[in-house]
Amino acid sequence: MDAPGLGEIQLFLPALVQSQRRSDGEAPWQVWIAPPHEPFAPALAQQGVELTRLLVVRPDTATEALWAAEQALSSGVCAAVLLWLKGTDDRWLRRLKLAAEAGGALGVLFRPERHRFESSPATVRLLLTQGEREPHLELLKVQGGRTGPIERTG
Amino acid sequence: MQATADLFAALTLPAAASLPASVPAPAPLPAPTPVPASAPAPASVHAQHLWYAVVFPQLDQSARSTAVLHRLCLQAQRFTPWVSLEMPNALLLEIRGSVNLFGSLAALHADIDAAWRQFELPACSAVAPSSVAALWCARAGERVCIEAPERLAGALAHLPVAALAWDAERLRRLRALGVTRLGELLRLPRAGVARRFGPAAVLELDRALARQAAPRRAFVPRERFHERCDFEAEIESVAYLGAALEPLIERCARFLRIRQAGVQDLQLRLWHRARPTTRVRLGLASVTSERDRLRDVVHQKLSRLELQAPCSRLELRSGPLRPLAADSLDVFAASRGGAGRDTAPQLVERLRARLGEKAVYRICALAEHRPEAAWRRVDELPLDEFPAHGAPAPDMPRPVWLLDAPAALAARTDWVLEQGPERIESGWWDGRGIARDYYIAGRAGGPRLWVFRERQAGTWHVHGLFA
Repeated sequence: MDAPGLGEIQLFLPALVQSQRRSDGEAPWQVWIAPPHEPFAPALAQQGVELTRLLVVRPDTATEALWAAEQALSSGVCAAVLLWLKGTDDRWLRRLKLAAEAGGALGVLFRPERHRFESSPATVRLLLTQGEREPHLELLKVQGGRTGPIERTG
Repeated sequence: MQATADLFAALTLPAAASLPASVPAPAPLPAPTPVPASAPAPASVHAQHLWYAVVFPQLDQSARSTAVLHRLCLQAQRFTPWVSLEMPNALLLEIRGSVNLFGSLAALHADIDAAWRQFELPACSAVAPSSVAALWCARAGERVCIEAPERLAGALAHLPVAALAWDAERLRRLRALGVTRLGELLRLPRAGVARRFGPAAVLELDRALARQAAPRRAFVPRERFHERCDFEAEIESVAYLGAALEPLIERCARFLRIRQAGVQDLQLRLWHRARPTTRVRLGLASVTSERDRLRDVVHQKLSRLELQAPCSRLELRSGPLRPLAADSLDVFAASRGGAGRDTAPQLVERLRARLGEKAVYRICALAEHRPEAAWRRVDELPLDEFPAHGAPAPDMPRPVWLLDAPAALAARTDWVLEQGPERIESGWWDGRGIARDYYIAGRAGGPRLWVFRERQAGTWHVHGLFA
């Protein structure tokens, strides 16, 4: 994904909203780290996001952003951690994956399209591109699954 | 004597004697008269304390001086557990409880003075029943030893006003009044002093005469775990290094457990014969004192370490000790599967500790039509619920991303207005009124935008991005 506005939030929003609904009434947190713009509270409320359990983090550097993501993922209180970055190295990706497994959280890392050919330990990798009419979604990697473009239904 | 953890001399006074500003008549400060034993008047209460003050004129505000003062403080803790740092260059010791141990007050005074001589630092000391008076005498270079509070006013009378350590402006005003000695200041009417120099000045004088308590914070030394291990034969393999570290980790965990504290980082240093020292920083995800977690992180690091040269000695030192979170002390946490997990406040605190207070926040929606004013940042902890905004849901969808400020949209030839207009006209009452028509605009090969047309100027702007 190169620029914001490709429907990247719409893609994950149902999962984000769903992850905050839990049977025991204690809504888990979601953390947005270094988002490209200010998240607009009325829009998120409109879509059903529990704003009281949304944390926005604005670190100064990429390393701090990665550190914050690792902390949030492994803390066990977050259902989802969204992280926007220009780039990162393999070592950090591995750490994030381990942290997400330890904390039982969904971690999503948004990076520019030029990173598509680098290897990544992520379970699922998606490529969002702007098509003529609407954004295209392509599965770059699925652990134990098939890759390829995805047709949008509905 | 009260035995509190970090606050001492915090004896409370009867309310009537507390506030100088509330004293109705401008009564001159009288020399305290001996009170009958039956009435527990403030003066007799504070006579319980005896303060030793020492001033080191050579020390200043610099970081080096502060470090020296900290070291002197540790030295002073031989004489009493209650030592307080008086920045930038003085120490206060509460020594009432130590007098008997050292034989007599004079002997104790001489013993403490002797302790500074080995540092070859010039020092001026004084003993008085009030902390402020002891400091004043020490600053004035008077090596006095006052034990009875009745003698305070008399002993302070001939000190120059410079001993007050007030700012230059207040000292100049004192001199303009013709006041050069403390005795002259103490004779002034209280109300006048309060008016000219502020109520704090009267409070300070009361504290000096031991009529008011002057609480001090006790110095607590910074503790670290720090241990070395020398090898008889140099170690060449990382595996042996791990084995050598085991007892150190064990002792570190015990050190932390005794203090009910934890650490968040450790440092490992390896010495080599012909090469510079290898330093390895070990960061922990949360404050802990558990041996297993410390061992895990050490072994994780060691597994990735390549020894550049045989190692002759190693050292393990801890970062600053931090209080353990309550659930770290919970013995049953592990059986519930909650070991090593944080709570949301812990996570927020840790993020803020490293990234800064302003970098971590929440957002909430407000009942307001203007997009700029329809949300705000929420910085506050604790993380309880903020009230639901109760704003009527807008008819048109709102974009997920709001630009910090609307950006001018120059050419709008290839944009298609997909939805709109939604007229937002509001805020005339607070001077930031808007009159705009909002549209959702799309373009082939581009993102959907939230644009508006200024109704008066007719100019187009982007205000948000749908994502």
